[in-house]
Amino acid sequence: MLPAAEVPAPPPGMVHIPGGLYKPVYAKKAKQRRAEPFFMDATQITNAQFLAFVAKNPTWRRSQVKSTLADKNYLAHWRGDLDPGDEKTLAAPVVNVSWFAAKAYCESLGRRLPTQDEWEFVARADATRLDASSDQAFLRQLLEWYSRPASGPLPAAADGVLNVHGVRGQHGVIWEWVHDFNSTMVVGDSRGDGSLERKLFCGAGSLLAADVSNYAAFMRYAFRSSLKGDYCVRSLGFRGAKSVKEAPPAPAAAAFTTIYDLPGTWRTQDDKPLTLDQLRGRPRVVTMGFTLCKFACPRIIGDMKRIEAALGADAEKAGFVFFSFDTAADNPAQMKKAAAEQQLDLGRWTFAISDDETIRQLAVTLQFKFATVEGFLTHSNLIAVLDADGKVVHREESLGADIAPSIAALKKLLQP
Amino acid sequence: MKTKTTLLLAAASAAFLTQCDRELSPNEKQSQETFMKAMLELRSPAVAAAPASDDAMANPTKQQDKPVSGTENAVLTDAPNVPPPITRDHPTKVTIKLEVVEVVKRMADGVDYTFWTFGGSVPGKFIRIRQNDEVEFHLMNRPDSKMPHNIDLHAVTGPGGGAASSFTAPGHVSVFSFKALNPGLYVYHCATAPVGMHVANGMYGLILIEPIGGLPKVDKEFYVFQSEFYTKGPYGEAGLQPFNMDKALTETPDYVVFNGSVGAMAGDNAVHAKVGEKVRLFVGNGGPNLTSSFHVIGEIFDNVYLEGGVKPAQHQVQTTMIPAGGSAIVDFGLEVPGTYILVDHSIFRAFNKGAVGMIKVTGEENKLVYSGKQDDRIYQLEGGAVQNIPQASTQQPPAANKDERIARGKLLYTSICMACHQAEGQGIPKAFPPLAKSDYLNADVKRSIGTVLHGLQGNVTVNGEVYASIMPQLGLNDEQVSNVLTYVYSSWGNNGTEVLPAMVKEVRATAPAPAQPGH
Repeated sequence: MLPAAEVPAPPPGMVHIPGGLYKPVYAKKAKQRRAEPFFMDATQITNAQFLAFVAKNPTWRRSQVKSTLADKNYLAHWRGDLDPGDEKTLAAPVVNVSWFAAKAYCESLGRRLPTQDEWEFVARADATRLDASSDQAFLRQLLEWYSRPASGPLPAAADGVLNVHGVRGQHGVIWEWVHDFNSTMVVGDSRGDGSLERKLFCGAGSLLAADVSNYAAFMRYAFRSSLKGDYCVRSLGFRGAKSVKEAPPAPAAAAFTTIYDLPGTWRTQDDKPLTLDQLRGRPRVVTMGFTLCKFACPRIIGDMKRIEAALGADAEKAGFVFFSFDTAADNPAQMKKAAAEQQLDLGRWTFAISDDETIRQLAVTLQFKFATVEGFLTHSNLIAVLDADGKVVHREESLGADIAPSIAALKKLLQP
Repeated sequence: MKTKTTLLLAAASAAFLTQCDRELSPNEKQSQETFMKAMLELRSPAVAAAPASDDAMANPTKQQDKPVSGTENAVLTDAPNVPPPITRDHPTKVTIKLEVVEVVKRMADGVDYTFWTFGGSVPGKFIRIRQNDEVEFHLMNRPDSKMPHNIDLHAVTGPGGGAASSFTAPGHVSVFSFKALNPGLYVYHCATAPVGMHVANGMYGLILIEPIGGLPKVDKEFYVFQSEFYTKGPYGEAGLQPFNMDKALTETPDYVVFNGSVGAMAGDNAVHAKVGEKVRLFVGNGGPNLTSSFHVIGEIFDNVYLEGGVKPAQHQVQTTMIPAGGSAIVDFGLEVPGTYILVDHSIFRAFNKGAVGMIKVTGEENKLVYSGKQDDRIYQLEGGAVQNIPQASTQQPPAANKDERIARGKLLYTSICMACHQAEGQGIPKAFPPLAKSDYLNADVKRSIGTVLHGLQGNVTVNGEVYASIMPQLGLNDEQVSNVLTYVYSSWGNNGTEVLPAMVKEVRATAPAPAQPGH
């Protein structure tokens, strides 16, 4: 414990979370993870708070929001663009908001979404203990809450159950977005997780649970795993977080149509800066991965090379991009080495790496999942065909998928 | 029966083939035409014309079939109903739309549960398609669902049975396609983490892939699905009962039921059939843990398609085992009217946890097959026939008025008297005398009180019939006797006498009247 004097004063509406070690449910053999001290909103963001945000930011109004940023259920429970409903609704947590919208809200206040680790670290607490996650009675209570359908009006955010940190309503009423929700890889078929398959396919699943009796945690991870960045769900809201030390992230572009509109700067294998906007002008095949990958990525690069070969002379007019998410190991030199090993034509091929935030935003937009679990980098498999403006026209998500549809999609784009 | 016909036709066909090298007489020609016509009318001429090869028998997916043509939407039904048999002679493109609904419903009287369902009730919708159909499956998860869900159809050939492809967040719909290569009766279920809980909350159902040529014709088909539930409170504890994980882990369910709740297929919800009909049951077991000892009391299965395969594996079966995540098709002819009770013959599940269903059969009696009760004589051990019924709670204050007396009497009658004297007081001919419009009862109140207090042995004549049964001494207190008799006197055309506890007390004080032989 820090001496009381050193506890920083939390920003308005937030509480200070001291941080510490914790063992996530998915890490069987794993070392404990450390959550750094941070601030967290004491309550979920309400409809009233979100109303103030959309009033100030018209592009986030229901009638104006871009379809790439939020699906059709965005604020579906509101009566109108600036009319959430009666007093009770105003006080209730806002739901039917996409990850992009939740993130934009937080950034407008110089805050961010909590990470999964931060959220789960706090979520272990009950009213009196910092960690109640091994108490069966506590877990039974969570199961009961989670099992109830999300029909009927929501209670006020301020009435949420209080935990020992001073955080309200984390369990029970609604689910909450986390920043790296797409690092959860409960595959749709939960039973395959943790098998040999994991060794064969990076993205096959990685939920090697430490505590298989913690069904409540399973349900949270399964829920997150079912989401995409633009999803708006009736039982899903959010709260903000803020680091104690680091500066808040720079606000991202509020609106984008394709990934080429996303902000952030990448570095290529030639150590040159690259913005996604520079990739416009020709159809491209893109993937995400890490160059030290021994399992899935070589196969994916191999498939991309076969696609390249199938195009014949037309390959000159297409591009091939490998976005790395391995900020620890992938630097220009390593990427250049990997490209050489694969004997890739760097006139057509591009390798790129960026900062965590830029990578995360691209991954969410491309519906790509990745995580670091037990020292392993794991990720889903993706080959996406983009048109000259960066719009995804075709995608394959399984390792070893037929490449013929991707070739056909490219040929169509390359037709004069 | 159908198999036999097919074989005969095949044999006849072989006979015709051997005769092809000579000219046919007009008679023979006509008979051959008739035969060919009969062949064409069969639903699967390719199969009927020649016995299927061993390979095709072992692996129906290699059976020849017509090309895929047309489109249709699958008909889905709730238990106990089954969609009509498929009459197409070719595979088609089928669209199946199944909606996931999380809903609070009745588990037993006074007991509710939050079920997670495929289609709004438990079990999920029955899906019926044909072998080689090309299926486009839409899984819709309602916006008010709290959970993501998916579907693993055991009928699907491919990793996860569709589970990963159908993983769907609340308020979304997933689409995937498969070809129904293998005929059979298959379980489907949700496989989202934690999978046990999704199954335990009711996420399962049956999909029937009819083989080429269909199943033999029957008169009635029903959908029966066994599963068990693990609740916080014990069996019958009122209120909304949450899922109990500890009981699920130790496999000690509170409820074992057919079609999703206690009584879903019994009493007023029983299914009906007639004597002379052939009935087929598509039986699934969702578990999540228990294997079913499926039995129909009073019937013998003519055919059991073991484990949901498409060929009868055994005939004349009393009880068939159905594993969790498995199924069976059983059929039987109905010879005698009455109520046939479906049970899990792991019998405590039937009588203590709810695993009871009913088929009510109406029609002509067949005394040769089953006589009903022919005789009932007294078989009495020494020591008399005193049977002490455990005392009901006597804490209750006395009934305040006649109406209350009747209401309480009715409860008592239902639990004690009804077994013999029947629900409408009609009694059972030659065994137990009627109480409805009973001359014996209405003639003498004190005698009736005495009968209830002390029991009755020896012949008694009621409405002109002589009864030789025995009525046990019931051990009721004065209040109870007055209540039950007032109810009886106030029902079924009797004279409406109110029997008061004081009257009972008076009779109790006098010596029991001896039996009155001859009356």
